[in-house]
Amino acid sequence: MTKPTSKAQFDVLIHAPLRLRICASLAPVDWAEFAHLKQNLGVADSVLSKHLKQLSDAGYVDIERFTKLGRSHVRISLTTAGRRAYVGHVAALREITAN
Amino acid sequence: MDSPEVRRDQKRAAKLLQSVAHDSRQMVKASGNPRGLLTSIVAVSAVVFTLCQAYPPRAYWLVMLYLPLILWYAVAQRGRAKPRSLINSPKLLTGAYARYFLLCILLINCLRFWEATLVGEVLAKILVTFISAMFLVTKMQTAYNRARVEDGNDQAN
Repeated sequence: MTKPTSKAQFDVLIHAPLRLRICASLAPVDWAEFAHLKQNLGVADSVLSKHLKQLSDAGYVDIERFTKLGRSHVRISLTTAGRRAYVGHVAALREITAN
Repeated sequence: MDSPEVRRDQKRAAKLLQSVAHDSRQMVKASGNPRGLLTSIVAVSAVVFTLCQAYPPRAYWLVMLYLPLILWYAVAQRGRAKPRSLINSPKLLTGAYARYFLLCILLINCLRFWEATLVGEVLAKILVTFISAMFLVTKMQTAYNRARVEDGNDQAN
């Protein structure tokens, strides 16, 4: 385990289990497609969309829609603020377990 | 002595951290190359490496075997998540990954001293190359995946 670059800070928005799982899935990648993320988490489209909207409204994730070869794609990525909040939240969880 | 609430919070936080690690690992695996592709690359490399050394000019066409693998790689990349390009984990350069990478180079150099000429020897060399390279590549991949998970969960930049 390396030293986190973000200060340990509990984030209420990220703390919800599915939103935390979304951030955990997006953390090791630059972006993931909606379908891929859905498959990784094993949740319904509507549930994932709802949580992504909440994260997007807070400025934690970036949702990019585009069309390629006639097919529509949705790419999701963590923003800098989202990544910082997520790393801080994970550090806060580690602090709780270490105490 | 911790109160029951503190203990409950600690248990919950530990569970969440486990779920975080699991989901990150899943995404790292899903965004990486398929296992079959990695095995095929190592197998083709073992054959090409051995035969090019045993029968130098005649075996060079075997390099063409990489073409279907390149095609497979291109197809496998479609729709996959893009891994983070910058790995900040110091463990990657100083830890298991670097060790196994150096062992890989050492293995290639040692195998060059083994001059196989008979068919039986060539087959044995291919097998030894494949098994040892597969072992090292698998270890490297595991170390790389672990570094990516740690990097994602610890590096905010």
